[in-house]
Amino acid sequence: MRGKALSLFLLMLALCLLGLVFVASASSWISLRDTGDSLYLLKKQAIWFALGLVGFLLMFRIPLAVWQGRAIWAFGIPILLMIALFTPLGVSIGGSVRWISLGPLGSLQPSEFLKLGSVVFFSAWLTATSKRKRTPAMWGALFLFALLPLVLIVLEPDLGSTFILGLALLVVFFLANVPLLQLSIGFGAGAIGFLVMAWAFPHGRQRLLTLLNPSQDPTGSGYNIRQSLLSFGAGGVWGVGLGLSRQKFQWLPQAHNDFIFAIVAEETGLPGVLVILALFLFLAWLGYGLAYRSRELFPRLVAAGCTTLLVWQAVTHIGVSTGFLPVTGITLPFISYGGTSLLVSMCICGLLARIAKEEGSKP
Amino acid sequence: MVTPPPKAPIPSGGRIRLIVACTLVFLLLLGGRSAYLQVVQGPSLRENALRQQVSGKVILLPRRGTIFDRNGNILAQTTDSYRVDIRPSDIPAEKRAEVARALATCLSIPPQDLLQKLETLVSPFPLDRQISVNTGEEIQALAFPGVDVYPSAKRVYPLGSQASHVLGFVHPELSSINVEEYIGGEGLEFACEDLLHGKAGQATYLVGPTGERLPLDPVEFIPPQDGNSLVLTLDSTIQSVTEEELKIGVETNSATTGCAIVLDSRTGEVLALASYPAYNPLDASTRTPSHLFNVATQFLYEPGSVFKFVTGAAALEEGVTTLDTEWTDDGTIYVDDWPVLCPAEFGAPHGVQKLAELFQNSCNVGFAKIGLKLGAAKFWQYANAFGFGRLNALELPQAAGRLDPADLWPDIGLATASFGYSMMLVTPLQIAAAFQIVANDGRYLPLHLIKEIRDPSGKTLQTLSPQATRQVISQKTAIQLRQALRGVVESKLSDTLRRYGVAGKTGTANSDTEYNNTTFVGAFPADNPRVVILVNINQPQVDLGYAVRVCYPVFEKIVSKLVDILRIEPPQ
Repeated sequence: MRGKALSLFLLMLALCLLGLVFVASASSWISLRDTGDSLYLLKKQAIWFALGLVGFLLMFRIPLAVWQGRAIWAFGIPILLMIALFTPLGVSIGGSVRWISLGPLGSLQPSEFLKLGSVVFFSAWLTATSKRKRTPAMWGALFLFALLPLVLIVLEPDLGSTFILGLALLVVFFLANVPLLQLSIGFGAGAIGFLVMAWAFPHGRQRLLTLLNPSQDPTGSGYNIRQSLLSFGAGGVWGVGLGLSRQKFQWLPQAHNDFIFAIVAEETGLPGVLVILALFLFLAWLGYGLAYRSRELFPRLVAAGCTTLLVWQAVTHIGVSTGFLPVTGITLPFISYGGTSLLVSMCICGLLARIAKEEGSKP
Repeated sequence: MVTPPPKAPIPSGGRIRLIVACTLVFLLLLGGRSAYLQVVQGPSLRENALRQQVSGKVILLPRRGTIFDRNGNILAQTTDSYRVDIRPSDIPAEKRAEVARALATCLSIPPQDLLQKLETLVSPFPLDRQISVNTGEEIQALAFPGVDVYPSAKRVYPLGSQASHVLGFVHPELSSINVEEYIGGEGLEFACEDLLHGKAGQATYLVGPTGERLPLDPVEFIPPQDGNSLVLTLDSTIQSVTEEELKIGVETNSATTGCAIVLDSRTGEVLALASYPAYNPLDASTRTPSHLFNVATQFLYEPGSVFKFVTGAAALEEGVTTLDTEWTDDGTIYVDDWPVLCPAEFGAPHGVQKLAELFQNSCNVGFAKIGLKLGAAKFWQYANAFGFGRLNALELPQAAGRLDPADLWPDIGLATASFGYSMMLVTPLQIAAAFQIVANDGRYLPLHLIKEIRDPSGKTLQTLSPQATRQVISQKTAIQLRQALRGVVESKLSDTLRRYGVAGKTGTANSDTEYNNTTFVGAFPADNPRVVILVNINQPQVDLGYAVRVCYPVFEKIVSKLVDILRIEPPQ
């Protein structure tokens, strides 16, 4: 591993290790309360991190051409897993069915695989059709197919992940030089559909309203965001010190996953916040840089789409925790607790590193 | 090396720049937003966060000091316990029966009563303030809604009702919302409240949303200062003997109240102090006003003949009489036109008597003549110096009694005061204290119950051994007086006691009822006293209920046991 691939690997490693540190702190109380072992969730996360390293190396070794040729599998298998969610295999937590139980091994979140699979699949499809003249029927088929994963995820319901995948697909379509008119029509209709869906879910509507006025109901729907903001303030410029968060004691109920960034802010202050932001900026620079320098369309689309999945999920997570965006339960890639999220994020890094390697090795 | 241009440049490079720009803008915006929250809004958000994160001030109660007897036996101690409070409105109606049954089993109380309380009461009430640690943890484990279990403290008195009038008791008082502190009521618990109580501390903890305390350092923590411990002069063995004999004395004579005091005559230490009826400090139902009344320190009465030793002491010291001066009782005399006489059933008139015979016959006429010769001013001066009409130094709550100013005394008042009537109200404790001066060769020593004050760790802070401060009567007078007092119960003494000799005085005083208040006070052994013992038994409802028949037997039994307990050797 050399050059950009190595940079990607080291960057990923840095993010993951920071993540383990913050998961150790933020999950300790919940672990202790629920299992009697304050390291319980950290241990689980460490196992997923080890799996993630294997995933990274695997992705790094698989030639891009394999993905391009067998994109339908990358798309189809997660779709099947998603459908399995709607069978008794699905596990419901907090009103959404997002997990498939693996018994003692924990659980799997198929939507994470579907996000990666969708980006690969549509990148391959758009690359395959880039040399031909695209007909309106083809556009229709593309957009309708793009709706399939989005609809499956939104039905869980998981509005946050739907939004991230929608954004990544928008980037992929945008960079595939889809004319702006068709793009606007397709994604505009999708966005409107999304908002209508969001409005249709009672808690989705509540969260949108809460965003506009977080103080309207501080103990109800505004509770999470209020507690998150208090965490930022409690941390102040320099933070209260690593491991010393007070908000993690269930004041902030999802301290170890959906709101881990607030704990970062509380414990390590502005320096911690800026370090995490800088690391994701570096990831954006590397990832989008790969896309920019790609001489072929497929790696460009995959690199840009994958980078979007990671960086914009981080932007969304941080946006939620700072009160910019409505509360959607999504993780901060690499940092938050969540096995599938960590595994897939590391696999995405492996794919980006593979692209860097192939691009670098070409004359 | 210069990167070669793409062989077939693909379009959309500009679009990537746009995406990168968007990403950069958003990341910068988020950084700015974070900084704004942490720096600009930080102080006010932090204040709000702190407001929710900290508990209210928690009062940390101090542990009340222990009370030991002189041999280190525990008389009163505070131990860990639990308190159970009930919030009836938070117990679901369908669970009431189950809760009542379970709690009743744990606390050994009738379940029906509790169930009725749960069904009728609405506002929270304390169910039990002092349950054992085991029971408390048992109830805590049941985790019923509306049943709160708090750690608390329990005052225990290992010897039960023994020395109850010395020790007193404690009762709970609200020091702040929901925090009960134990405050002393009666006895040393009351009198030494400041020493025993300690000082409450306070703490502010970090809490979670359900109010549970977080495993983090408290925001504020001022530890409580536990109370000091007391080591008493009391000897629980002697106390137990004294109480037992007093009880027998009171009950066999069908009397109403009584008391017995045992003093170390050389130090002024109180070895035992018992009043009847006693109470159980832990059982509020036994703490009625009549039980709480400390006869030894609070019963005020005209002492009658027992007071004659004061008259004798003053007269000897002032030279009004010697041991050999002869005093004549020819029958009733009239003072201010009031008759003064001795009851005929004791062989009055007594004729010519010396001081010892006056004591032995308890001759009112003779002592009236001595008193009149002494004069009110001198008499008052000695009575005052012996401690009548003022508070005793003893650390217990007590009555000061009364000794009217001498210039108000008519001659008949002086005459009757000489044998213990009118012009005064005294407590049994004051008589014992005065007699202790006689026993201690005329030196006044403050009576005391507290020997030592120890800090919570057991380190001695102060040792109390008061020294003689003044000579009330000369040593010679005291020795002569004790000599004269030996005859009072001489004929009653057992063979053993006769080897030691007892200097004492009886008193059977008329009260405003048909029964008398009887007193005996004596020093033992008579020549070189180790102890002074007072026995007072009131309203004996028996024929011939005189002090010598009612009080002296109690004195005799106590002193007989003291010979063994204190290993008192007979004089050579």
